[in-house]
Amino acid sequence: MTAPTGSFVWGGAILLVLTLLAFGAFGLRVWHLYRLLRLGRDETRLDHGWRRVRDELVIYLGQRKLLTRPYYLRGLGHALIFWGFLVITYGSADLLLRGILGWHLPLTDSGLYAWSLDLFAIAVLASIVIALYRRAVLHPAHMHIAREGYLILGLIAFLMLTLLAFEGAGVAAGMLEPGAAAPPLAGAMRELFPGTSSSTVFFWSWWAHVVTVLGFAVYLPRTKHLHIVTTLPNVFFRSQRPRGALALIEGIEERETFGAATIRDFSWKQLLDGYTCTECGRCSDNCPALATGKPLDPQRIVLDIRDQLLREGPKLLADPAAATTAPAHWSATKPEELWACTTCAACVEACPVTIEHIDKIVDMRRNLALMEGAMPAEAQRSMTNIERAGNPWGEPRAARGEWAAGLDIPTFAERPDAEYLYFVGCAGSYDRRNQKVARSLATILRAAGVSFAILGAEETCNGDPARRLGNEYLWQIQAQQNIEVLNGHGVKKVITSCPHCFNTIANEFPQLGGRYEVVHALQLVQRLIAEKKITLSDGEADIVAYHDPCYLGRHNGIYDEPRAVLDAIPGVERKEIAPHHRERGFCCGAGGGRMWVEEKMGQRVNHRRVEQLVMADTGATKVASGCPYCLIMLDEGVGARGVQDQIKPVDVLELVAARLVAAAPAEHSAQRSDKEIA
Amino acid sequence: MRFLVCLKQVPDSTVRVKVGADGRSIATEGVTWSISPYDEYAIELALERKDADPTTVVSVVTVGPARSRDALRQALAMGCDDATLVLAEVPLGGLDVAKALAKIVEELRPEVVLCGKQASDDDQGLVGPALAETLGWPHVGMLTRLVPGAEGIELWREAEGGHEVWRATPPVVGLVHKSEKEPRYPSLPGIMKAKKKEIPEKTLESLGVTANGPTDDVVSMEPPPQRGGGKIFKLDGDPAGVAATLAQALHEEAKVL
Amino acid sequence: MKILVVAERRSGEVRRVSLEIAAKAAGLGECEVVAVDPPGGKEQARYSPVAHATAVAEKARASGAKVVLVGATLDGRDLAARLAAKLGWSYAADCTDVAVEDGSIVAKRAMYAGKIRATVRVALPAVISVRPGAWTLPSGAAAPAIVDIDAAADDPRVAFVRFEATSSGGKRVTLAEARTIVSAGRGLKGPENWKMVEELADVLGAATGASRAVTDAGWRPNEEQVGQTGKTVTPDLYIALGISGAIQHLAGMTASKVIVAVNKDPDADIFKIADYGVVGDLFEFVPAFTEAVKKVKGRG
Repeated sequence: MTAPTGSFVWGGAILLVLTLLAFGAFGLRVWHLYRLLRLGRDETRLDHGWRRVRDELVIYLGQRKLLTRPYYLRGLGHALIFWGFLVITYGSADLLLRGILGWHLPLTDSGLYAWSLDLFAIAVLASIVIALYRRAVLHPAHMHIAREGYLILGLIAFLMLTLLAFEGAGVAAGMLEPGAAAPPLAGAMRELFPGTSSSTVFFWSWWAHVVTVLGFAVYLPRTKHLHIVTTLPNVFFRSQRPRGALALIEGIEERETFGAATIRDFSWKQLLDGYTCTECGRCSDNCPALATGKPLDPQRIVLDIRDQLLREGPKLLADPAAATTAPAHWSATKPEELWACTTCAACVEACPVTIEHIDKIVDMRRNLALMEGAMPAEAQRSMTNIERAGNPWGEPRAARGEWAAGLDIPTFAERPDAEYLYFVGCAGSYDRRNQKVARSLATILRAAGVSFAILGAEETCNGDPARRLGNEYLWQIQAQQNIEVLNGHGVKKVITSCPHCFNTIANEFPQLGGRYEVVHALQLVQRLIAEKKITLSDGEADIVAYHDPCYLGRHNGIYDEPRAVLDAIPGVERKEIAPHHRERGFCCGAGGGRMWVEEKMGQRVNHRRVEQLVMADTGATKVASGCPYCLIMLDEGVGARGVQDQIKPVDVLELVAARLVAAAPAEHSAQRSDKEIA
Repeated sequence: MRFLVCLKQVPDSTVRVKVGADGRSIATEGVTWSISPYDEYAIELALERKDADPTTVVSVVTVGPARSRDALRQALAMGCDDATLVLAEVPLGGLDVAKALAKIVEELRPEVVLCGKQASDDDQGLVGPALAETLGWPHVGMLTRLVPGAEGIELWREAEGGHEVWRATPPVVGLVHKSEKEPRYPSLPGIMKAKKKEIPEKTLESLGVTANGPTDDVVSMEPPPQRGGGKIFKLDGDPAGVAATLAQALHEEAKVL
Repeated sequence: MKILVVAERRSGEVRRVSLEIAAKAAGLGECEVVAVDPPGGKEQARYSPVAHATAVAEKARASGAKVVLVGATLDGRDLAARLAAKLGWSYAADCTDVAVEDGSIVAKRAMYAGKIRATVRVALPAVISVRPGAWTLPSGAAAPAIVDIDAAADDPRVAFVRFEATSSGGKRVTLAEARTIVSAGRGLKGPENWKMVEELADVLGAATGASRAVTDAGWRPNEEQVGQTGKTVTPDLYIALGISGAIQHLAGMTASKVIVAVNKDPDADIFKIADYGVVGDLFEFVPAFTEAVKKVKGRG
């Protein structure tokens, strides 16, 4: 299309001035935001370069995290607007170049581009209709709906309409450049612009379109729609640590401050998260704490930091020594918000722009715990217990191996050549209910002929609850202690039946130099079944619902193995607790150290979980998981709801152990000979 | 105002205490040592005064073996200002401990001395009152609260049915039963600062104390008798029946009704 | 051997533990029972360490006693310790048994928060406090003759100001004293269900106690907490409702003569030490049991 700027002398010049002004305003704002960002602490995020490129392709360009259950429709709407935006931005650049300099961008005259432009223009318009309908009619619970959103949607719609108008009118007025493909859909509308009206319409709609594009550039970085720009770096610089691993505080004994209390304590990337938040509310939709009436709202966590930065940042830029006013995120009720988090990662999973909520919450908890020693009394007691007794319950250290009494399980000291270490964890060691699970696993391993040993009284808490409650120091002490013991025995492979132990040893011990091949019991059992190392007998038909533990599922992506194990038990019919399963599994309420903190506000998370289980109406008589915390919480939950007789919480391992076909032959004959003697 | 908290390092309450080979002391192998729980409450009460009035100084002292230094460090980490170790490798009788502590009191001149009501090793509860006696000070026991006012310090003493409130004009010795808040968790900077602090060490000789008081002579120790093997009833939908049977058994068999 | 027993009064009545000790001491040697009569009069007098200890110390010296026995109540333990210091005598606290052997005293007492039972030799002269309930009061034992002695002047630096009663204030038998205790734990689900516990305690004439979970949650005042960090009790009958039996609770009550446990979890640790256990819903059982006790007591 020939630009209408050539029709009078100053057209190109005016457009040039407007463009410079718009880009100048855009650039100034971005520079300001960048300087604010640099108020945050340094953090290098350049490891795993290729994975970062892949993330850009999949998450940014591919819109992968938007197109997820249950957000398919709105996700598609967003993806169409986004892809349309990419195509049309290319066109806009072309328009400006042609208008100012008469230059062409490659391909813009091609038929393919003409088709894409038109199709996306229509698709974007359709998506805007969906978006407007959601905002105005459906009122999504946690989406922040402001006039700004409507304005932006209106602007985009206006852009699309002016685009179609100037194309259609341009074709009618014969403005199509020689050799350029005609816009197929807009071109079909040329009848709408008869005679001389076509060139007037073309002129005004072209200018309206171009000025709106420039206006958009000025307005955009002043709104939450900045995410259009910031998502690109935010995805690129996302954490490449395993999701379950919290960041290490290095040189902890040499530092003077810990965690985050002010905006300067957050890293630039954490602040960038704030710029990138689109206020879509998906994190809040999925937060178990918020859902059960706790004061925590993960979206607020991110936005409070952003608002604080925008409010206090300029003062700090003007005078680096200036004291900020009490940070917004440090209000009197903030600690309650922070302690309510179960670190279940539902928010992190749901966020389309890879914001890292848990890290911020834990950083703020770190400040409370390490700088002030301020935490809920019960949390404090559990930490003291970990320090003194090596377990959060304060059970005697010496009693750690007693769950195995009578099972004749060797310790690593007794059998240094064992292939696997079974790291039992505090729950399996001390909690009566979970001792049964530990014994089940031991029976299975024995039957499969797996060579394993335990640490007995040498094992101590790996510090997971302490770390998640913000006590990084205690975690490092506990982890270091375990690593020394493991290395001392030359342990190479570790089995855990607790997903929290699994996560800590597999994902966090490497931060302190402890590298082992770690496998969760259900992964191993699944392999043993597949390799026919164990055989399961027929038994009564059983309907079993599977509950995804957060630290198996969302944190470590182990969704399928536990299900495969259930499916391999003859007569067991597996049910899903839809829609709260797999990636959207609902927390039991015990993660993030919450196991040891009283839940005083709102509904208890485990009660909600049992409610979901009952509502799912699966007909299940058992609910199975692969986590000791889940087991304890579900047990309490079914009791509180009075359905303990209808649905019994179990660990998948117990179901397997109950169906084991005879133990290893050697043991079998030994038993028989005993009997004969008797 | 200056507080002096006298503390003792004892096996942590989570430790499974076992009788040692000699049959008259406990096996100390693998034992985690910590500040006796009532002494921790005493520290908390004193530190709460310091929170309210930062000019308050809280000192801690212990009479015990070298390992007791760790307990003093813990107290420093919690926020106490200074610590003194009176080295005594051999356990002393309570009256001798009180004499040694009295010397430290004379040196530091605190207005208020706090002790846990008893140390959860020997559970005697002698040292606090004995220290007061040695100093010629009054003492108030079973403290759960400490409120300074214009006319002296209000000391809340847990009693049957409520609290007796006593007013003390310092000096006074308080024996602490509990603090309203759980003893505080040390901050990490607190821990690091405590690690670097000097802890002066005294001996009985350097204090001019001769240990000549009565000592505790343990003849033998044994674990408490195992109970169990009791009768277990299942409700099974008949609460009235089970209740009647149990009431009958308590009346006729156990003779406690 | 001359033994001085210091009796304690509460609201004018001689405490049961004093009677228990007096009855037992008569068999150990020549026994004199005294009670300190403070200036405030028998009715509203408060125990004050200096005033009481000074008076008893004078009496002990004057009487030529080799042993002073005191009931290990809150006040008794406090008095005994200060007294031992004042006299410079040997001391053993909270003993569960005392015997005279070869010119010294051999006492049994708990140490390490109840995790150890020790036998200790106490050189004479000695002050010994004896745990309430350690000795059974023989039925029909004659009331001892009690000599009242006047309290000494109190230390002017401390003075009783007022009494702050807790909600349940004084209505019920106190924990330390009680022969029967009804105690409840987290299984009670909430403070609103406490009434059920009180109703049972009322028909039993029992004191009420609580596990740490309950006092921590603020359902009951701290003074009712039984356990390692609360009160150690030794009643004839201890009824644990909805208490799972954490070690810290057990430390405070395993020495009870008869333990009844009610819990819905058959694996609860409390059943390991219970003489009678009821596995089931305490909300069903307790009201029924209250009725059953009424019947048995009515007959008896």
